[in-house]
Amino acid sequence: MLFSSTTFLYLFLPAVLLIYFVFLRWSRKLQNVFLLLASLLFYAWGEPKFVLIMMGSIVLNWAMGWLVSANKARKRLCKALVAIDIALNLSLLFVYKYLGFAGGIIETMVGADLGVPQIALPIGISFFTFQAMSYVIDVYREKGQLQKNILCVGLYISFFPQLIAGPIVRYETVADQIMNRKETLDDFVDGFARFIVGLAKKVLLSNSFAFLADQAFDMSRDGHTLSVAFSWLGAIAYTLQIFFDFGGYSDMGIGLGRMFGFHFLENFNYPYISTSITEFWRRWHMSLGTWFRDYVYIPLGGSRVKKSRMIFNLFVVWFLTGLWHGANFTFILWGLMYFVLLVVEKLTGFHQAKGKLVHVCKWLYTMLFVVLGWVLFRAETLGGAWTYLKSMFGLNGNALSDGMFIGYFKQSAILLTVGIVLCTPLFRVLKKKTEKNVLIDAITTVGLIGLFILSVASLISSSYNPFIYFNF
Amino acid sequence: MKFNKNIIVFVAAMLFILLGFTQQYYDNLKYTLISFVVQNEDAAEDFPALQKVIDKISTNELRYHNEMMNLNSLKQRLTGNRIVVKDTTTVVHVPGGSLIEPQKEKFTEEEMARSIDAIIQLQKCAQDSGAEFLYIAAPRKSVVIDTPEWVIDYRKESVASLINGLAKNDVPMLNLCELLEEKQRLNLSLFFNTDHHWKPEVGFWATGEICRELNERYGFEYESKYNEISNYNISVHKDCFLGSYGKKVGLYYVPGGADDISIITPKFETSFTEQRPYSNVERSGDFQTALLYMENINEVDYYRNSPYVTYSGGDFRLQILKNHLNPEGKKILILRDSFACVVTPFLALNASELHIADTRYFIPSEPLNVYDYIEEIKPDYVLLLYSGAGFPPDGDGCFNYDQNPS
Repeated sequence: MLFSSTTFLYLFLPAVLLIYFVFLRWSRKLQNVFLLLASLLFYAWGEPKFVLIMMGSIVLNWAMGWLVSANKARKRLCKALVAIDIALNLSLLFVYKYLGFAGGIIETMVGADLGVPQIALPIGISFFTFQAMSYVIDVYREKGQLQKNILCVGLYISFFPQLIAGPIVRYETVADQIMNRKETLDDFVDGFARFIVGLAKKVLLSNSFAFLADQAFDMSRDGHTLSVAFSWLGAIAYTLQIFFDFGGYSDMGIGLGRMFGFHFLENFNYPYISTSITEFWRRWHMSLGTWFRDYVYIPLGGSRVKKSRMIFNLFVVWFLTGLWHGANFTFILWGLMYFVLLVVEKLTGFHQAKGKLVHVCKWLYTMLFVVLGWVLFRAETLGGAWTYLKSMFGLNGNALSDGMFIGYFKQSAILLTVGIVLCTPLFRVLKKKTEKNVLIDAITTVGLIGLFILSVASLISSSYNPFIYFNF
Repeated sequence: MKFNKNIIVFVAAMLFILLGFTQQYYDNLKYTLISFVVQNEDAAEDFPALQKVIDKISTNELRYHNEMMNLNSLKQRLTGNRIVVKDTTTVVHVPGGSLIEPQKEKFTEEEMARSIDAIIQLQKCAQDSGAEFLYIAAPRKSVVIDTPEWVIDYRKESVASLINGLAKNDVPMLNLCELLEEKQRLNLSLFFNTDHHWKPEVGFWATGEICRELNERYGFEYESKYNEISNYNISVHKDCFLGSYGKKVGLYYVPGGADDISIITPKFETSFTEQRPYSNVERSGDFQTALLYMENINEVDYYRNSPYVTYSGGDFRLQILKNHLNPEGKKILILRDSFACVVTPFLALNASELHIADTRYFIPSEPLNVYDYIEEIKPDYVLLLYSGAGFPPDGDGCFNYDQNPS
């Protein structure tokens, strides 16, 4: 099920809120069981057979958590159990996500058809697998209490607000909240307001940019020559699409979690104002970045090692980051692009230079590589990415501009402007400055209601509503 | 404790959601769930279908479905959006205020050759059976305008390819596009703004041209008075028709909103029987009673009704019109797409029997082998009226004339 669907808005959410807050308000245990069942239904709506895989993952990680906790005193055994748990979780991920890809590589290398099955990818498997591993690791590190009740582990792993598109919720950040959270009216309504903002970002902004981006990338894939301007327009559209889609989903997830008393960490912090790649990755998909930092980079030694070892550690993290996003060389190359840029920044320190003009130059450098990176990310093949990138720099013998660019630019100018403005913290700054202004409060209230109705109108019209997390 | 304004937001949103529910929503949902639970043997296999139905109910049965469509159409227009995708249809708002659907993919030479060959085979079958054959090329919007540079549309190319292919093979053809161009009338005003069809007035004109062409080629006798518009009453129903494209993009997407539609009925005496063998339907009476479906225009519902199908009732596998005032007239079989809806009622005036077959959208329970049918009814004329190039290669069935279930 998607948040951005009328079934979710008109059936699932109202029913869950009603049952949770009215019929089950007297029992936290029952509330948790209900949320777990609701989350399983939410997942099963889109993946009726794969819900069993998620349930299997819950059982596995709950059992491993038990074993780790029971053998706390035996460090080596504990470590081995954690390693086994990680191996099992990654095996699950490998079979469903990477087997076909790996098989394809081997087949190419040996020049033979090995009959590797192409297995369908359960939606969200990358997210819930990482969350599941986080549970066992945090129990081992004693950063979170063992959950004796399997249903609580199930709720942590499968909780529907963050199940299919994150944020990746680390166990230590919510461990206590599973049984000891407190729902407040402020959290509830502020969470709902956040949900509306996320819904509007996804439905009103991201979907529109998606259409434009798809036109450009599909045309390039189908062999049409794009003008320089149109290819940049498509790339920028995708840059905005992925931010508002992902950011919108995170807003919805964080908002929904807050309604039920859960406080998830933020996932995006205006990444497109970054003036270095280092800063970009502290603002973009923060839950993934911190997961890799805390569970891969730091255990490998992090930055507190020899330079060569640090570079190796960065290589591992960014290779895995790319690979996590999808089973395709484009994602790996995308990850490794960031590896190279981050190493250059770490070794030269140029990203820390100061000055107004320098600041602008740094922002341009950052956004250039971010946009080019998204082209790599979006393309279906390395060849397709290369063709598109060449179009962006006029290396295909293509014109600077054409009717295609003019036509699409004209009709998307307003939305592009709105989108670019919303990438900046302008509204956050304005909000702070007008905090006690009654008129502004009224406008905001009406605005949120208006956004909700417009979003619903867009959903009812069944406008373009792509789901981009099928790789995850 | 400070009042949190978001309480108002939540309450308003929930009220808005509650307002959306209707008795129809509740009944359809209940019926769907009960049917699924009681009647499904393999729930896991059928679950995706259940989801689709529930998703559809959650959208289409909301009280304010139409208002939300209209609101979204206004939003699209105000933000300058000229292209909308809904389901698998891409609708483009072209200069002049009309909506078109571009053909985004080229047909391969093989696909084109297959379609041309199918038409040739049909011609041969008709002639072997003693019938005369005529292919009638009706114009589509994309063909009459230059689509904007930012729209990829292969329709013009596809139509030209088909016409040239038929001409090369000496298939008897009436190219209405060419005719309109000669008369300098080939423009968007021939069509509804919000629909892909031509207007009834154009269908009426086309009927006259078909009669003329059949007369010139094969000596077909017809009453010219039946093709003179002065012999008809024309009642214009304003702002009542939101066409196929309009239903996808909403009422306010184009400045003019809904289209007007004319209902053209004879001033002279008529008597017909309409039969639909696959549906066991038979209606008799004058032109309006037997050939028109006035319920499609008497009540305006932009998103559920289609006033266009006031003419002929829609697309049916087989429809037979018998003209009781012309028993000595010719028997005509016309294979068609929906452009024929506004042609066949008028064509029936000059025939004794008009057999209308739509071979598209293959429905297993309604098999029709056209070759066998031609043998069976032995028509005097076999006509094929299609609006250009709408024939997907995987068998929309446009040119599959031997649709028998295996």
